Amino acid sequence: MRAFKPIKNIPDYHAFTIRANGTLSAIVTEIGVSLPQPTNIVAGGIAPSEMTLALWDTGAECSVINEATAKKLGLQPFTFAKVFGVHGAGDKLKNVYLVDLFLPNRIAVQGVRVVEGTITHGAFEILIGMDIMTLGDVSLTHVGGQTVFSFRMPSIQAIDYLKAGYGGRMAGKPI
Amino acid sequence: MATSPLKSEFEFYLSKQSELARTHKGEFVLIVGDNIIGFYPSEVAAYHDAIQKYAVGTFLIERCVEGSEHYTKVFHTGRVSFA
Repeated sequence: MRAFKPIKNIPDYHAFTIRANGTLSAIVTEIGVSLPQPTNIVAGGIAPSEMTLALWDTGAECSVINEATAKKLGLQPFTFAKVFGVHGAGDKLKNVYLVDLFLPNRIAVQGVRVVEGTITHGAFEILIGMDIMTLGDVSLTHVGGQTVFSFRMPSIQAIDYLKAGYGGRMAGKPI
Repeated sequence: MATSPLKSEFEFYLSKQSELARTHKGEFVLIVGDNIIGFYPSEVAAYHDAIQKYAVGTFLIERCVEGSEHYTKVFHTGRVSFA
């Protein structure tokens, strides 16, 4: 078995972690939304104009904003996306907006394209899609039946449970 | 087509897409009405230049490439509908 080697000289990163008392059926976090700022908002300390809830959804190729939320924020589209969803047949052209997103722990992601949709089954108004998740490293663990979700940006190191070093010993041989 | 003031701009883009993909491959084009305003190396650069001159919602930014893959998004989630 190959050994897990912690990397040296880890670059600076931003991160947040949520810990639940029990297992979570969905990962929902607070999120801030602003019109896109021309300056570096990490350094500039600009506050989001709207705070809401977001669902982290690996089934979404890109991030989504609820249609009503886009209207409330006064967002205006700058282009379209042809979307294929599981509800209804065929493709549709939907408005696309450019926003800055503030993840927990004030992790700012600037110039994010969000597609307008109708978010169902939940109190959240934004779906965080794979466009955001692929900017960093995501982990989801359930030690002792407690969900721990953690995210950092940028991506620094792969997590591979086939390699030693994460605690315990793997049963059987790697496939 | 989505309810949007940019419908005519998008149709104009589609009519010019092949030509733009050939002459400005990979760049981002800024369109207002039936006019090409300029080309930019990134979408964000195009957006921030556009909002200096035009109200958001009156301009379209698209990538100069062939096909529809760059503006096609797939959702394998039941949490959103696009009716």
